[in-house]
Amino acid sequence: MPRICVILLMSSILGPIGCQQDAEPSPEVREISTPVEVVETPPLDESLTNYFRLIESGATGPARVRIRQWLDEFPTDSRGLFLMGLSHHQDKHYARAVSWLKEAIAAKPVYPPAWHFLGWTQYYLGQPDEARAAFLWHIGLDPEEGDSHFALGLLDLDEWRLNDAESRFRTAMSLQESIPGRAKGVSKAAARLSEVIEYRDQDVDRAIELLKQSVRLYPDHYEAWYRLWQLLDRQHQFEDAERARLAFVAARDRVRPGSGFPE
Amino acid sequence: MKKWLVMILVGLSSCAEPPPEAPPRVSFVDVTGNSGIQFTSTSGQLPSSEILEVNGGGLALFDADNDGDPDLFVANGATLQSPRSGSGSRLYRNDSQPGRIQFTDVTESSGIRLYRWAMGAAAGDYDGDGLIDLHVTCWGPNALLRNLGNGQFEEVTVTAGIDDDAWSTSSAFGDVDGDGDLDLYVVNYLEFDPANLPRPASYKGQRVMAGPHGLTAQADRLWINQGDGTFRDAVESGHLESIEPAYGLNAIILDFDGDGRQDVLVGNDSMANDLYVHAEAPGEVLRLRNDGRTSGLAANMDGAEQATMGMAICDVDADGRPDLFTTNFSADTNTLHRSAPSGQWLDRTRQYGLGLRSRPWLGWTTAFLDVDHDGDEDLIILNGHVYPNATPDTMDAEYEQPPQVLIREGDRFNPLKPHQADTWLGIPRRDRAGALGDLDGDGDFDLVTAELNGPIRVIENRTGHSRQYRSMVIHLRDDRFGVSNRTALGSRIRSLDPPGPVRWLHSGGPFQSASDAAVHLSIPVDIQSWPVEVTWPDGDVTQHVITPAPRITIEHGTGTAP
Repeated sequence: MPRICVILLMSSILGPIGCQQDAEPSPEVREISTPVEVVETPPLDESLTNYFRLIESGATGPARVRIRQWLDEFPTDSRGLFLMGLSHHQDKHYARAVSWLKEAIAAKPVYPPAWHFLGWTQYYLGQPDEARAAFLWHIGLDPEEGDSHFALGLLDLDEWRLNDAESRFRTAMSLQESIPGRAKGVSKAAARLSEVIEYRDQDVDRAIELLKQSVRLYPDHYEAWYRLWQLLDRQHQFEDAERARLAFVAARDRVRPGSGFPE
Repeated sequence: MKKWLVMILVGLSSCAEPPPEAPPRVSFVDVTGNSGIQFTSTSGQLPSSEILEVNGGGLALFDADNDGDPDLFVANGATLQSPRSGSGSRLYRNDSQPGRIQFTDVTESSGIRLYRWAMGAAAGDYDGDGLIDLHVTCWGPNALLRNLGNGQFEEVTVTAGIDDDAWSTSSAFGDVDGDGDLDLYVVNYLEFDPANLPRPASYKGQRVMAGPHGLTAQADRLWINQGDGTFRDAVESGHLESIEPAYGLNAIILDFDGDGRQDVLVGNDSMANDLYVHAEAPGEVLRLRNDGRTSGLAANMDGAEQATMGMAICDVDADGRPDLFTTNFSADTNTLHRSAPSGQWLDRTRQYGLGLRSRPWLGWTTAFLDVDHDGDEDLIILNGHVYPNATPDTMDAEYEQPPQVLIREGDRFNPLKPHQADTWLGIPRRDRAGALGDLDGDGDFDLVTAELNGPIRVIENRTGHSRQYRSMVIHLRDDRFGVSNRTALGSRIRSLDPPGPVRWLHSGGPFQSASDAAVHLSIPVDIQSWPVEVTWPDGDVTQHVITPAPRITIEHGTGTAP
């Protein structure tokens, strides 16, 4: 039996055995399910690269038409299945994305990006246990991917395991600091690390420093500007708080995030 | 031995040791069938096609006939074809006996003739005659129903000076100006004309009903009680510079900033929430300012403005200050704001486990309640999507969604798993409004719910009381000269020994509804005389020693100064 299947079997056994309580599996159990081989992501060929560019540009509908044609020809091609899932993820249709990403993984269980985006889709669906499992698979296959460490940090934060969250965010920062174009990733991790520092250490000044670092790296990070405004205000640094407030409004106007509500 | 096998064995062995006392099994039983309430509410038609249809009607549990138990008012809507004339709201008299919840429809004899599209209800004795009156929010003119006694009501909206043609969703009573009588905050939503329907909108690529964005928001109204049966608009009177138009859904009147004066918190739909606090010096004329943004209550921790359908108050961190929980849209999280000594409100949703797992749910009514009688407050949430075409495939969420009970365990609120035999918990519905009250006088809160275009349900709390805690429901009574806020809306009750549990008694909150003006508390069963401290709405503090019983009324004059 391939090692990956053994690991999957082990994690499925561990669930039902025990106290029959609703307690979540411990972090230790989760780590068991992490494979250790580092796997290269297979390169996309030219057609698939074009479809990826379409998704990236927001033309997800046209992308899906082309990917569908590709899948008619190569129905079990994990890259095509992954891109179909990615297109739904881009549209924030997470339930749809999950089924395609699972198909991509079924076709090729060691396909790192599929695990990564499966993690995010399940995160946005409010399924933290499934999301954690997917991210752990991903960093098992690609331990250097900072964004999955960041996601695991968010999950730790949500479960209020602050030391684990700190460790994940610091890893995410260090892995991405030296990579060109990943300043946004470092910025996001720094902003969330500030939450840990504020909650656990009650060190508001250090949290403010991390938020300043976050918005220096990525000035469009409006959520970090908002938190910076609130913390500065709490520290009675009213002039700086007002500057952060204005920067928050400006960044939000630049980014124009979807409200998440009907438009 | 393999590490995972050790873990399994350890886990199995720990199962063999029973806990000292198992917590009581939480049990909410749908007893509608034998309750005397067989009523299906109207709010347009199913499937809903316009925003006017999706909120449904609210509920009020209040003592309409002054006999000591909560009666039920049901705000009922109408249809888009006949929006100003529906089948009418209802009043039910509580005739329950211990062990049996029973209501009787007394609408006809009550004099309530309310056939307009009613949305919500708030209860309070605005005229200080000792009888609890009712304010009903409507699409179109609202209604102030004065309680005449003997279970009779008359509409006095116009003579009270609070007629308003806006679409009002919720309202709340409270003594905002501190003069001893109840003022009224009316939450307005948006302009909607059934004869001129707006164009549909889009959500997640699906065609959906229009609004609220794209439709014209309406400004709320704060009505100051003049003490003579009439009210004056606070903005026109100069007490407030302005109230900006917003898609308002909910309000709570309470002392949010701890200055001893009653403030107003307003939950707005996908817009910043408002918090009106006192800006005047003591003794000066009432002057309010909006501190929503600076307080941190306007948005969640990332600055995102949320839908804020339901609002509930609890002292989650046992610091004596109120904390706020709000329910929100699907694909967003519910939010818990903790109040800090600095006056700021800090989003601590994650700390209490209320964030990520709430993303599939679209929440409405919410309330804190010590469901399992262990001394701390748990959480009830009613859910249901607004869009009939919501499915996991189209919107990552179901249209009909189950109610939730989240049990407080340490710092976390963990969802209670329904049992197969449950008749309420875990069953997907289109729930909207809900109100709490001790319907059968057994010392705990039961629940009444309103499903959109569905039945009004009576849900009896049959959770067994533990051997360690005694459960009781407490009302307040303030008959001081010059005070007409008899039920003491806006009060705070604190246990002195054992030190800890704090509860607030306030108007507004659940969603377009009013729970009975009472608090539920569980205290250790060995306590025979229980010292509590009451902070009354005007800031006056009294201490009382009470003998535990299922129903208790604390009267202002019976206390001592601290």
